[in-house]
Amino acid sequence: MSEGPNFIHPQDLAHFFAGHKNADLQNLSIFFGRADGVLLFTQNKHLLNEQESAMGVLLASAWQASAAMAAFFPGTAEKEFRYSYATSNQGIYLLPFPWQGEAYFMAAVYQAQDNPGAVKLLLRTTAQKLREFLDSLDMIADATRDVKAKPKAKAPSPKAAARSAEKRLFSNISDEEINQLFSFAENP
Amino acid sequence: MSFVNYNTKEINCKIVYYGPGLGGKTTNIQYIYQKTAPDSKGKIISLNTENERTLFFDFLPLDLGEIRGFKTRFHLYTVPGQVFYEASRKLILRGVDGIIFVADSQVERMEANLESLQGLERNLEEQTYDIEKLPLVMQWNKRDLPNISSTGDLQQALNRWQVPAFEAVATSGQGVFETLKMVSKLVLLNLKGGLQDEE
Repeated sequence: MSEGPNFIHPQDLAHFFAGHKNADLQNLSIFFGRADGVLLFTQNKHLLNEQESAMGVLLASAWQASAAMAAFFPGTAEKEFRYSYATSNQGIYLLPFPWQGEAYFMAAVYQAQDNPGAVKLLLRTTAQKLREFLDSLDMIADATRDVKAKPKAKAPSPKAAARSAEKRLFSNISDEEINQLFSFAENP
Repeated sequence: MSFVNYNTKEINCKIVYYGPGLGGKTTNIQYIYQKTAPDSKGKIISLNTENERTLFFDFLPLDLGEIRGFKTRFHLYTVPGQVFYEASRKLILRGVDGIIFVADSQVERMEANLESLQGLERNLEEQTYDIEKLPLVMQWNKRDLPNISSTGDLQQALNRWQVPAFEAVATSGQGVFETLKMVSKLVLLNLKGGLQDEE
């Protein structure tokens, strides 16, 4: 999946969270990612930087594995399950964040919380605000596109649309470029 | 599913090592981890059973450096090879960009190779992937052992698509990076999104 107008952009998430100065929220580690575990935003209070990728993958995997388990039971397919792994005062809380047909998640890691319920509520409220923020960006983008649109612009032909969808990012890559990419390896 | 961020010029891709149990999938990514400079790798994650068999997956994030101005990050996964972990394998294949099929060259493991390959085809089909269009590389592992099938036999039995294949001894590293480089090249060539679309 390439980034496009229908996907959530990392810079929009950074902008949103930078504008949210809620002290309780700022005490949490927050991870926003795609269903495959690629993180688009982190507010990391607990982990080493090199652990972030692993955290994203483990969060997405735990969530997907739980969803797969839930799917064994009737009547669960259409529901959005939250995921929680917690003791009485610390834990991990994950919310599914479907947006424009794509599956994302927003998760918080909290520690030493007297009221974990309040943390979960805060995350749900933040998710709702984020949704409104993204919707507003979408409306602005639509309006801008309308203004910029040329009158009587022809829709691309089906063949042209298919060619565009099939367009490759790199038309050719040499073995030298690949070797250069793997130059990090020590005496492979 | 690859992710290309045009603003930050970053590419994320997912590569899965697939194959029968005890074929050497985990050994492949352990070798890569050992041979990778510290600043190019993240934390390796292995979700194992008590006897060190893969329970869910192994995961290794690799920062490969730049290609034509794009910072490239690959996420390497292995699937659990044991037959009864089919549900886990399906989950791990979601969003895959490239596959390395690690076959065990020992004659007595041919049936396990075939069964695993059939499972791969079935799982990809269920997720509407076309195996003929997905970057796929074969690795004939354990070439140092006695009683191994010839590469011709492996090729005939397991590689009807005639995709690139490499002999390997994952324990010593032979063929490990060659296989990864090839699938990486195929994955990058397969990325959609013309540079002229960049804004």
